[in-house]
Formats: sequence, structure tokens, C-alpha cells
Amino acid sequence: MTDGAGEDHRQFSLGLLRGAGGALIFGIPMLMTMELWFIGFYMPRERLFLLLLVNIPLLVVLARRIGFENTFSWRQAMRDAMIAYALAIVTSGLVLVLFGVLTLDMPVREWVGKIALQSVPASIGAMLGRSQLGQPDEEEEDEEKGGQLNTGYAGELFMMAIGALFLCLNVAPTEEIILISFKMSAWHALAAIAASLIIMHGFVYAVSFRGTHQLNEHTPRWHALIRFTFPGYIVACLISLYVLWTFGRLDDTAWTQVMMSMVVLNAPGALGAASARLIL
Amino acid sequence: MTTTNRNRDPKRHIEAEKPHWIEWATGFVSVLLVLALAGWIGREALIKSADTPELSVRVGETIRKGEHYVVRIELQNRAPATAAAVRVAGTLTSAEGFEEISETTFDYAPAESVTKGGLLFRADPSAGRLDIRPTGYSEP
Repeated sequence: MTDGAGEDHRQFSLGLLRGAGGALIFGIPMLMTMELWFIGFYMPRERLFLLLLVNIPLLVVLARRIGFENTFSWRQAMRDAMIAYALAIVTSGLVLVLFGVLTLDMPVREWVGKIALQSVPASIGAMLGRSQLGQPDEEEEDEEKGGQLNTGYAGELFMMAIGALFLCLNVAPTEEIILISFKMSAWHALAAIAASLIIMHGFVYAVSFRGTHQLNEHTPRWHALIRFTFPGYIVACLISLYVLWTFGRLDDTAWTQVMMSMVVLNAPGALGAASARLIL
Repeated sequence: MTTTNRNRDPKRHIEAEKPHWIEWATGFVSVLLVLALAGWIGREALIKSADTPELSVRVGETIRKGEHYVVRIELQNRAPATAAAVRVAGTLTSAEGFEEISETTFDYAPAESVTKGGLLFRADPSAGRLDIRPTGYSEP
């Protein structure tokens, strides 16, 4: 074995460990949420299956963007996405066994359901773990990837969707989401929509976080509001609806109630969408 | 389009100066959708105000499952006010006059929505008289 190959192996196993770390950090709030254990075994299997399928292209695009390795081709991105997914499955399974949520006398259906549902947010966590826990100097200085990176408009919306999905998955399974929507009046909901939009815009453009977005000097500020913040809110709305439907929160529910739940879930969803634009 | 400059610290993203028309189109459609959403909820805020739920139970089919007869029920709430912890009681009176009472609690009966559940009986409900009604709720 040459030195170069040895170095590659070290880098790769370091990436695996960071991925598992990310899956743990980002996954643990959900692994310790009781509703997610229950939903894991009673939710309709076709919705669970769809969620697992939807997760794959999300991971591939994320891998292409931040990657376990220096990912350049779609083939490599596919491989990294699968590694992240596998890491998430193993990590989720181990943690659930550790907490005594999964025991040997449970049927296979329950094991699979619980682990499968948890692996979706954990796999996004595994991807983020690689990018956020890694040291920037080793990956960004010595490669050509530095310099300019252009993100297409669709890509920007896609990143927002991933951010919204991650935060929605965190909170949507809890009963609090529908309970809050019952406690809120329509006036509260209107205020929540306005607050979400203001927070989204402020997060990305006004508050100077690392990774903040800027406009050219002679572009009016409202341009970004229309081109990015409003579409971002709509993307978060769609993701909220999808997640609520997946967890069976929309079945036999009146339209007004659907919208109220969506607005409630969008408070964290919009936050997730905005922070994804900063982080990714 | 957004350009990210990774060499600079802190990392900055700069939005394109001359965006593609599709960015504007998406933007305006989104504004319309948000306004529609706000409009719908605003209309609710202005015209619909009820603080008492209107609950009723629709009795569905009866199925024999193991040693029980399951009577499927649908709890309907027609008012724009949500009820929590709705109790539904069913009394089955047989031809000989014996009474069998079954109860269930629905966590929520959301405004203008239908929630499904079931009541279990030992005797065959089709052989007697069945009376099912909501008996109480709490405000969420």
C-alpha cells in the first residue's frame, strides 16, 4: 500500500466518524421523541416508503454540495449519499437499542419502521456533520473547489427545501403542532405568517451571520424579498404540507385547519429554510 | 442565481444583479400564494367566530373482530371551534332489556372535521337497540 492510499483511507474513515457524529448530534432530539417511535410503527407503509425514497435525491444533491469526500461526479455523490444513509440507519438503530426503545421481543416490522423513520433526519445530519464538523482548512485550501461557486436559482430553492424538511421532521411528529394550531386564533396565524417572513428575510440579509447574503449596491432591497424570501416561504409551506401528510395529520381535516397547522409548522420550517441558505 | 465566494472569510453569498426572468416569475407567484393564504385565514378571522363546537356521531358499519363486535363511528364537528378530549358513549340495549355500555375518548375533534374511531361490544349490536352520542369535551 502506498502512502497516498493510506492517507486516503485515513481521510475516508475520518469522514465516516464525522458522519456518524453528525447523525448523532442532529438525530438525537428525534431519537428521544416518543411520537416518532409510535409513528414509526403505525404510519401507513406507503407514506413511509415514499419518505425513504424522497430522501435519496435530497442526500445526493447535498452530497454533491458538501460531500463526504471531494465529490465531483454524480456517481460519487450517489455513493456518499448511500454511505450517509447507511451511517444514519446504524446510528439510529444503536441509539434506539441503547435507550431500550427497541428490544428483541419486538416484531421485525416495529424495528424496521422505527429505524427507517429516524434514519431520514439522521442521514441529513450525517451529511451536515461532514461539512460542519470538519476543519475547513484541509478541505478548502488545497483544492480548486475554493474560489467561486455559483448556485442556480433552483438549487437555492432546493437548499431551502432541505433546511425546511429537516426542521419540520424535528417538530412535526409532536402533538404540540396541532395543539398549538388549535390554541391559535386566525389573527395569531396571520401574525405568524408575517413573523416567519420577517425572520426569514432578516436571517439571510440583515443579521450578519457567517454566510450571510448580499445584494449588489444598486439593487433595491425589496428585489431579494420577492425573488428569494417569498418563494422560500412557499417552498417551506409545501414541505410542511408534505410532512404533515406523511404523519397523517391532514386526514379528514378541514382546509382551514390544514392551513393553520401548516402555518404553525412553517415557523420552524421557514427558519430551517433560511438557515440552510447560510450554512450550505 | 447566487454567487458564493469561498476564499473570503467570512463566507459571503452575493445575489446576481441581473436575474433570470424565472426568478421574478416565481417570486410574484409566491407573493400571490402567500397573499391567498393570508386572505383565507384573514377571512376566517373576520367572519367565523364560534367558541362552542357542534359535535355529532355518525354510526358506520359493524364488524366482528375476534370475540367483539366493532361499531365504527365518525365524530363530526361542524363548528369552527375545536374540541379536545371528546367522550363518546354507546349504549346497547338487547331485546331482553340488558344494557351494555361502551366508551371511548377522542383526543381532538378539530374544527369542521371528521375523526374516526370505534366502540367494542360483546353482544351483537344488530340484535338490539344502539344509541351512541358524544357526552362531553374540554377546550384545547
